[in-house]
Amino acid sequence: MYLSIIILPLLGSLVSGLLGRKVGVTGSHFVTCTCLILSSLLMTIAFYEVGLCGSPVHINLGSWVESEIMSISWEFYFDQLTVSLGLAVLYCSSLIHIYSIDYLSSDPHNQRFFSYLSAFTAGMLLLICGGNYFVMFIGWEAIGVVSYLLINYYFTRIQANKAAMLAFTMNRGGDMLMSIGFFAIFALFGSLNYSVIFSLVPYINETTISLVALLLLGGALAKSANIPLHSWLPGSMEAPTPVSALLHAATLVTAGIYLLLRSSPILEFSPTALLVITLIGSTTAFFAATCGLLQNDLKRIIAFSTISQLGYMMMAIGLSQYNVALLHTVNHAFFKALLFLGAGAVIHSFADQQDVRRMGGLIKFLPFTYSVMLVGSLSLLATPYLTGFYSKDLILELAYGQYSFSGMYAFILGSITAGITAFYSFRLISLVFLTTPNGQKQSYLNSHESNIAVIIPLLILALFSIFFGYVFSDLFVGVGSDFFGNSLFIHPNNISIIEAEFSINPVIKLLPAILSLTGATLAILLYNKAPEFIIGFTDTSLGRKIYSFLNGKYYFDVIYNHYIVSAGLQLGYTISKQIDRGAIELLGPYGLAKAFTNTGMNIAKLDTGIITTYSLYITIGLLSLLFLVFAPVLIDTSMISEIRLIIIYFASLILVLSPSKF
Amino acid sequence: MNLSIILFLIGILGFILNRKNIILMIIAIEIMLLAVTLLVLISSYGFDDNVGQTFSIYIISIAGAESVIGLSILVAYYRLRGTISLRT
Repeated sequence: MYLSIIILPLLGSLVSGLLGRKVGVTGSHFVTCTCLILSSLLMTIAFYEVGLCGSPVHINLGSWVESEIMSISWEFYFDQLTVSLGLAVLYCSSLIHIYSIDYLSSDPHNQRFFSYLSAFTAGMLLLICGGNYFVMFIGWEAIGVVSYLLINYYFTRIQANKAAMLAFTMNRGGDMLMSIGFFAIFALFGSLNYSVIFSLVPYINETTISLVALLLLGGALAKSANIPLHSWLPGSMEAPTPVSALLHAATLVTAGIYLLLRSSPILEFSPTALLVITLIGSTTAFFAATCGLLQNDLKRIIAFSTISQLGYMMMAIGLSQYNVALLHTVNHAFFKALLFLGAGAVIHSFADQQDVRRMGGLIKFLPFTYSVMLVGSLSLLATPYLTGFYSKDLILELAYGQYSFSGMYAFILGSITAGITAFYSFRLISLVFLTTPNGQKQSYLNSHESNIAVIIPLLILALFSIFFGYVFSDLFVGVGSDFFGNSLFIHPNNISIIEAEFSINPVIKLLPAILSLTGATLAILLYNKAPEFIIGFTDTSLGRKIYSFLNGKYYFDVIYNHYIVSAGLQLGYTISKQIDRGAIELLGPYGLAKAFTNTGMNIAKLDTGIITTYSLYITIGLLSLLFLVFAPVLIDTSMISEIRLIIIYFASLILVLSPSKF
Repeated sequence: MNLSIILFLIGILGFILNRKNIILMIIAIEIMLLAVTLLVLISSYGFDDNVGQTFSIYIISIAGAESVIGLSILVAYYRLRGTISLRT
């Protein structure tokens, strides 16, 4: 059953991709959706068995790499962390598959799309079910590749190509760091097995552990789109909307979070890494929220909101509240998938318009989509008792409850971010649904509520966005809950849930909620009742500067393009010219051939045809032979028995004889 | 023993260093052979072993045969080319 969870999406992907011509569009829809739904049902049973009954499963499929002390096997490990995240992944993925049936109904490449989607799910499952870092890395790379393919799904569009390249190269940067981290882990522990590593961590030098943790963090930063490796995520909104929902909101970006959650025993022994993670996480949350404030692309706003929420998760990890981070990950998967799918429904029914400035007044035309978007937004901005509230609010309380510098930093930035989040969420709602219509009349006439294949996923996700947190928060993050058993490790010194729950001033506890409400009210007021203020503000030069600064995403892309990318290209050119076509060419193909020809010519020159010269050669040969035979007596080593020495003799012979002119 | 080694060196040097005379070369080879024979004789005498002395007689007779072959080749060569100089 456990292996079926992983293999079913893969089989669906293979059938849809390789036999797409045979099974047809409907066939591939049917096969992939059935596989995904079956897999989700099995994952539900696994959640009951592993999570609720508390019996982790370990499956070893046999050895894969055996090389001296490195022994890696195909093993899968289903513990509470795996099944919790797997539940979110598979549910979101199944719903998005169903949604895509309608969303891509007019696309000519349905089989390819569904194949990619299922392959992505399989990769993600491999990633979260892997029993060692190596198997996890395969899943990691698989979702990286599929992410590239999916962003580049409309491969004729240059923007999509560029976004895909950006996403892939940026992730490669992170993967490089992470691979070095794996090397370091192997050098330290002699194994890549979770169980071996985690049981040895307490005995290892703290500096070394910090190094490993920071290297792993590098990979997580790229995959989870945190500063400074975030800029691929907004770009990848070029992909079809279901892809944005599945990969770039609900699942793929949580891979980095999963890596850090899984490595919690490593992180816990490195205060430095935790501090760095907290700082990066809070900065990312704040930065992305302010960027999202003034974006005009519907999907980009939600993308920045994703980065911001990922920042929250990072922050929770940095505060070593891994269970809260996991709850936020799962919650976020549901409401962010809902938001993206809702946005997709809007875009689809409104003549593929993505610019929020050209929408407005859609509440009359798309009441259901409006309702689910509103639910998603409310959940996102942590309205009390909706799903997002249970994790996001708790993260901020825990940050305050640390009573430390990093906790305070996280709390302040996180609270401000909560306000800004509310503002941009309601800005989106206002601009798309509430304000006066700004689009073309034809678009309004053609706009229509989506059909049942879209409504069902939206409805289910909306229900999850409302109730999931209420039902599961006590299980995941309740005081004293032992749900996670050994899968997440929180060092006893770092447990601060008691302070957070019982000792904080109610004003502090309510502060994020108050800020959220203020932000939301402000957005509705500014964009519906008094738009003159914003128009007036952007007419001043300061307002213009702020607008272009935030709309330009702090000019991160500009800085990257000007300094890093061009320097990288220059470096690449130099390396290619000086090393590849220079040094290696000289030593390798060209140089070696030349050396052998010269040696041959020089040896041929020795053949003079004069007998006395030959007599000299005979004598020299005799003497060297005598020397070789008696060398063990003279210098205490046998020169013939060393095969390496003989190779050196020949090499030096060639070198000595190779110069073209004497 | 020193005598035989010096003789052997003389033979080798004569073999290498002469530039034109092939008869000198044959003589040098002969000197080397005789030096080795002398060495064998001396050591067999030292070890009080008759096998070595018998062996040296063998070497002398074979050396004689060898020099005869060399000289006769020279004679044939001279008849063919009219010279026995090493410089061609």
